Amino acid sequence: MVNARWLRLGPALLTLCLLRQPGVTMAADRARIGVQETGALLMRREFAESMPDPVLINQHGERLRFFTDLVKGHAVVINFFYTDCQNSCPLTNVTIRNLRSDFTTTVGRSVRFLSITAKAQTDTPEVIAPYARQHALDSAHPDVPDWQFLTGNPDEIRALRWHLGMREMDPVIDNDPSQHAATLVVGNHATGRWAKINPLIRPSLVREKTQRIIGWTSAQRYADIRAEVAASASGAPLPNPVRTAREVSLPAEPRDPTLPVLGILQAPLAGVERSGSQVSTSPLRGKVTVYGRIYTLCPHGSQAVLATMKRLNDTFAETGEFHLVALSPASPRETPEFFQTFANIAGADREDPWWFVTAGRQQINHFTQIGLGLEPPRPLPAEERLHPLEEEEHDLRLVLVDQQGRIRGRYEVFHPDPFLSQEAAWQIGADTAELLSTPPLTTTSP
Amino acid sequence: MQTRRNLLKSGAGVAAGSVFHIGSTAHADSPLKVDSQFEGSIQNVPRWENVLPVPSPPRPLSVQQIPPAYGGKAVGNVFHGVAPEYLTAPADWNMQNTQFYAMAAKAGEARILPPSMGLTTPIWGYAIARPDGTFGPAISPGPQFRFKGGTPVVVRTTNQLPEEISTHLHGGHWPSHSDGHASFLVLPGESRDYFYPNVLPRRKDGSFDFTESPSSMWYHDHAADLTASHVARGMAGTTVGFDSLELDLIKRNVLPGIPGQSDENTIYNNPYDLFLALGDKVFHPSGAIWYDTNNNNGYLGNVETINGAAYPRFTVEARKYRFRFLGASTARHRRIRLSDNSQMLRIGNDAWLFPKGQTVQAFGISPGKRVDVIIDFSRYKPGTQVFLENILEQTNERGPEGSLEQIERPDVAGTPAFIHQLLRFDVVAANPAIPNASINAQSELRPHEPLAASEVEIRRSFRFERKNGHWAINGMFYDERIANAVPRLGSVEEWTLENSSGGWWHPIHIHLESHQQVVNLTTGARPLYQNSFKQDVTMLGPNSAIVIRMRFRTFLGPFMFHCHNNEHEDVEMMFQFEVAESGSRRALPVSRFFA
Ligand SMILES: [Cu+2]
Repeated sequence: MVNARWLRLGPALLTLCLLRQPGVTMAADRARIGVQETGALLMRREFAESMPDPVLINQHGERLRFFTDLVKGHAVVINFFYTDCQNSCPLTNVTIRNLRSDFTTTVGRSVRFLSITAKAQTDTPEVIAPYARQHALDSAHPDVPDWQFLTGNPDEIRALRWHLGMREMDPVIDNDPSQHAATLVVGNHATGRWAKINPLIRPSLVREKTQRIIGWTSAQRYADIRAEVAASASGAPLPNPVRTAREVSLPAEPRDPTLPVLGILQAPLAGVERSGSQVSTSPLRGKVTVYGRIYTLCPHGSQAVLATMKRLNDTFAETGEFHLVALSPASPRETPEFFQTFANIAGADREDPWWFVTAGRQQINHFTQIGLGLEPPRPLPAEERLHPLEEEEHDLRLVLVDQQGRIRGRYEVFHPDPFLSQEAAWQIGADTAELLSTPPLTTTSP
Repeated sequence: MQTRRNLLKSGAGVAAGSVFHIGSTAHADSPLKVDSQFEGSIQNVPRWENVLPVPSPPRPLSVQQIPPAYGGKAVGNVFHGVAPEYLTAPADWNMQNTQFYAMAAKAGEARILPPSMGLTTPIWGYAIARPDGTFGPAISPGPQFRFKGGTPVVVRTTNQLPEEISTHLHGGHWPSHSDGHASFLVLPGESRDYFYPNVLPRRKDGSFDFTESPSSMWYHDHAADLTASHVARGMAGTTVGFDSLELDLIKRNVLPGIPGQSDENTIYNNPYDLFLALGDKVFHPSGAIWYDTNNNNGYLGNVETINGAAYPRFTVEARKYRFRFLGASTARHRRIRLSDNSQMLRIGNDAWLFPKGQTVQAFGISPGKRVDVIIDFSRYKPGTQVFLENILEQTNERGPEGSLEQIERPDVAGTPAFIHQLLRFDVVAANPAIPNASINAQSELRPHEPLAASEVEIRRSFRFERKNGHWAINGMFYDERIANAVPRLGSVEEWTLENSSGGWWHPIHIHLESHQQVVNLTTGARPLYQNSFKQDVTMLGPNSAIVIRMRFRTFLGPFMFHCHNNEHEDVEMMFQFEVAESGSRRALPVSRFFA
């Protein structure tokens, strides 16, 4: 199926060649308004007015000026992506998808989503067009906010990124696009209000923060209080002291007040790590450990599992009290050498506390079912197989095990509903942090 | 005619090397650099034209009965209500003495730059209510409240700005509802009755713990996502706390003041005791404050201000003064000394006086911190000019050059490589009717009661770090619904504050009560003298870990703790603890949330 927008890609191919000529870079329009004249209101508008204004090309091949055509007068949610980004981008994209559908019935098209490539050298218009088509699966609703995927001159995009405050002092980190992929820059040019939001925090918090900045403010949150105040407009003090203090109860979030103990990990697993050495899980007692089964024939599932493991690794590896174990039955294909490559792609370094363990199919199944409490593999009828070798469907939940070897959570980080996947990925991070930040009572000082 | 040489020769008691800038405004020092994004900003600001602003304290609108300015609306009958503690106060909180104020957060104009530049600056500040309920002009720093221990205060705060606010009075001991929690907002157009009971926490035996009585407090905006830009626009002010112990020190002529006046006056009228709020800003050529909302690393200005005036001068009598320095910047750390390197007596850290003073030639002051200092100008001849200098170089938001230990050194060796002058003192003869204060390093000030290891109930650790361009604690970010720690009411806890974010500096502020440093885990060192009593901001230098102990008394509910580099705090280096009837080692959902 070819849609009309897709056909407009033609001219973009030409303009890209032009953009790559340094002489053609557009100088930002740095005209500044007289702040003094505008009064005390919006000193931050000054910043917005002096924003760089480079020409960018969207997924439809349209040339748009960043400030003049996209930001001025609008609320925007901006992120820096790249099409071959494995870790943060898929999660950020899920966040954006959810925000767009949430906002469809509230703010609608008054907010714009701008995904700008951090790898403009390779993310040409012809590369981002199919990527955009994949992600911006627009619903038929006329109010679904616009989502632009943008590329342009790499130097200008870098300057733009810097101007939006996404820069690192260490040039190595700064040049690594993955460092900038987990940030939403939310702004409202009309009010001059800007903030950065981490798309990996609790999803409803992302939505609430974004709403606050794009201008659809706390009205909802305070609706009950407004009604109460209106009802007591007589001026008499409210009767109940707690009500007077406007104490409100928050709806329960998907979060257990104390992590339940779901079971105890009995027998350890012995197997071969990707390095080729024999390992056992018993020395992991004393650490917070996350186990996950990876199924190399299921690219989507494994990608979600590995992306979550990678994020946990990046967050908690330095504590020295955290470990990851990816499990897979040994097969002629799934050898330690295979997993060396596999781990590299997943972003696991040799020094990371992250094992890729293979063992006999029987042992793996026993460990995952009896030990971790995962479902047994389900034989797949031939017609459901996406791959001829895919004979079974596996329970790909990640399992969180505490320092005492107790199972504290199982998390469905690969779920057909991306929103639930994201909630699960967020939750396992929160719960891991909780286990790590509540060490047993020990004397840390004289 | 007195020449400089004669003065030096005749100046008995004057330290060799004193600088006499008589009749001269010359200053040879290092300019402050400004980030390239502020290209075109104002560079050279004439110095010593401005006179140091010394705020006169507002008087309460009424005592005991609500004032006409409240428009007949009882305390609590405003949109955001009042703390439940207001209605359940025990008899010994003396609620019958409650003082009532009203204040608005609103936009205004200020003269921060010197008169010769002819520029005014739009600000967001605070305005005090007149008796008829209308508000005066917004000022920055805001009105300087004077809170007397044991006298409750209600400040009805109305938000006349287009963005939500939350006012945190930093250094005091307040109910959760009134503490300026990042999510307990004052919405535009609405009001909140902030209740400041000015009560001390109680010891185990039920007596009031007077060692906890705060002296030097300040208030500033604390609204989630907006703190840094609001503070940059001017939303900060100072508050003097005093109790009978301090009044007695004035009466006995130990602390500077007018005996018989400063110690009697319920509003603490003391010309020899003032705040010096140190700030830094970038100015657009139009005179507006230039701020970049998208830089969440920190804000470094190239123009220094004190009490909201750029490079002021201040006339002092040749006697002892008490100065309450406030680090009102978000990212700039300073090391302060007098231009002649002469000695000062440091008498407090943050809100609390030391048991005894500490003789220093210089002191470090980081964002959010207060340093209480006695300077004795009686060593100078009338006509002398002496300068207050920052001798700490800082070229980026990450932090200053050197280590925390170097910055905190009490002595100055040699000529500093970096000198930036902030304030000129013009010394005149002392009023002979008022004796000079007697305070010295042996004077007994406020006793200290250390927290013993045996009292510790729960130990926790918090790692402050940079993560994918965001600021995190234990890998997590601020979530208004999660109490990241739940201490039991009345208990003592021990927290390890660890900074593992490369070269970044993080001043860590914990609300509700003072905390006490125990040990520096990185160096194994015991706290320096100035850090061995009470404080509310613990400075974490790069790659360091400091163990603190703290009590959680009087008030239930959630309170913030966070990095006081406000830009870091906004993205989201901020947690909250909820004081509860029973403690918990793990994070729990927030159970009391005061909209
Ligand atoms: Cu910080």
